[in-house]
Amino acid sequence: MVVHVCIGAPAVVLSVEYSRMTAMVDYGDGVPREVLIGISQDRVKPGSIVIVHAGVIVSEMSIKEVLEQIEFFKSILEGEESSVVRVYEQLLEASKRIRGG
Amino acid sequence: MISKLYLELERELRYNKRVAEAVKNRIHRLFTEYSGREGIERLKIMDFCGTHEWSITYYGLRSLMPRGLELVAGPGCPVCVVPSHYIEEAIKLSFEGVVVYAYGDVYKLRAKRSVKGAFSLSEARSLGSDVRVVQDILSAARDASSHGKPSVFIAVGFETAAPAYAWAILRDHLPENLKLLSLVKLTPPAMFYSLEVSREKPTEPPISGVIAPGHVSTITGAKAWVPVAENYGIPVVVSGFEPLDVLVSILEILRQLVAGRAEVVIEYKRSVSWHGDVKAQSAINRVFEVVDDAWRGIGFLPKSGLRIRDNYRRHDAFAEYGVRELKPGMWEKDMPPGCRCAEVVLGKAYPTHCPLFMKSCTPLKPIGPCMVSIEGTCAIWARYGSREFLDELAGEIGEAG
Repeated sequence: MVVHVCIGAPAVVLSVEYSRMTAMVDYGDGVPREVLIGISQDRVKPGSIVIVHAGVIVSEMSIKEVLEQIEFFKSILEGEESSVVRVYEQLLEASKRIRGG
Repeated sequence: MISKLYLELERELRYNKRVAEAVKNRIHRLFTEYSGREGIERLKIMDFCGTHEWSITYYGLRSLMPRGLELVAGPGCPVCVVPSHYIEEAIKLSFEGVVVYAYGDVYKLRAKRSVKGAFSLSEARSLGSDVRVVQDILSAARDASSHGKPSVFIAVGFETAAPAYAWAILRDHLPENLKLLSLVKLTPPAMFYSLEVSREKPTEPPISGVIAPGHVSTITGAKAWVPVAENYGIPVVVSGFEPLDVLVSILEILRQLVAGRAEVVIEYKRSVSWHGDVKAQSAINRVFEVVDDAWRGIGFLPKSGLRIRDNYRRHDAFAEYGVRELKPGMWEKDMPPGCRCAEVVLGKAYPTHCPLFMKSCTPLKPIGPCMVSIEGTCAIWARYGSREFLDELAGEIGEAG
């Protein structure tokens, strides 16, 4: 039972109770757990991917931010072939689908 | 669908050998170019956060670095820097009948002096105290309200943990019987101090770049590190925790050094923004005030700690249980004899330089605080080794042969 104080685990938000600033999240193991929302509540919605740290949501990840990061990778690798690009393309597709739907 | 793609991205950042190879080659090329031009043989980059040190050591990233490029760990282990005094105070409370809630590593943390025969909360528990290990403040709140006994939560952590404590107070999650002992620390003052210290020894190269903490920066924003880049003229890269995140951050530091730049750049864009989370910052500010605080083995650093404001003193263990504050006049070196954790925390020494490391001080029976937490540099090196460790071993085998 040792907590990595600085590490954050990605989780999917299942439901949100804004009045208490809490949310139920799933870390991928199918077990719903209650956590505190540490960031602006408008960034946390059911379906959001969030980073949870010691029982508190410290960040929300958006497609746009992931794309920015991959852009950064591409710029730093200066065009060297990379399979990160493949993931980038998939994310881009997903983002298009979400916007379209 | 989206979560699946995120998982795929995380996997790429962990296992993509081809990209790692490309980044590594580039690091080698840039280091050769920079060290040749500047006429230096050694260059130090500090990884501030304990979880970065974990990634670097666990994934063996030091073995991918060119010889002369050293990655040194900084003071980013919040458990390692809790002064012995407060552990002693918590043990005392536990013997007075207060239920003490602590994270797993705080539970094992050893004080310099024993209180009624207990050096740690775990020893206090074995002597009859009610000490309970929890993973977060909400669990402690739920448990405390179920029994109603006087209780205290040892609130350690950096800016990342602070919003949890602030929201727990602001949204009335804490039952009346549970008080917070806020030992929260702020990271920028410690980074300033370690960079200052790294310049004191002329025989050692100073820190030339910083891998800045990822999750602290989700709250503070990357802007918090601008004074570091400006005052010390060194690149600062806010990095994610996967091995490729760290490698790319090192590459960016070298790119800046070669180009003669010293800027704050975010590598961990999927989580960190420039301004951070303003709402979390404001919650922290409403509940806590900034104080000069003591760091274990180091001493007082100005404006480096958070204590609960008077408005919320009914939640404050210092006020409610009369826990004594450590004052600068009371400060004394609070490391166990022989332990070099204070130097390890500041990046001045490697764990292998400590006479106790893996001799009397081991993860199973830690003596110094750096061996206790999973984020402590000594605990990480003990579990996963390091190049210095291997070099030493190779040297000994060589001598023996």
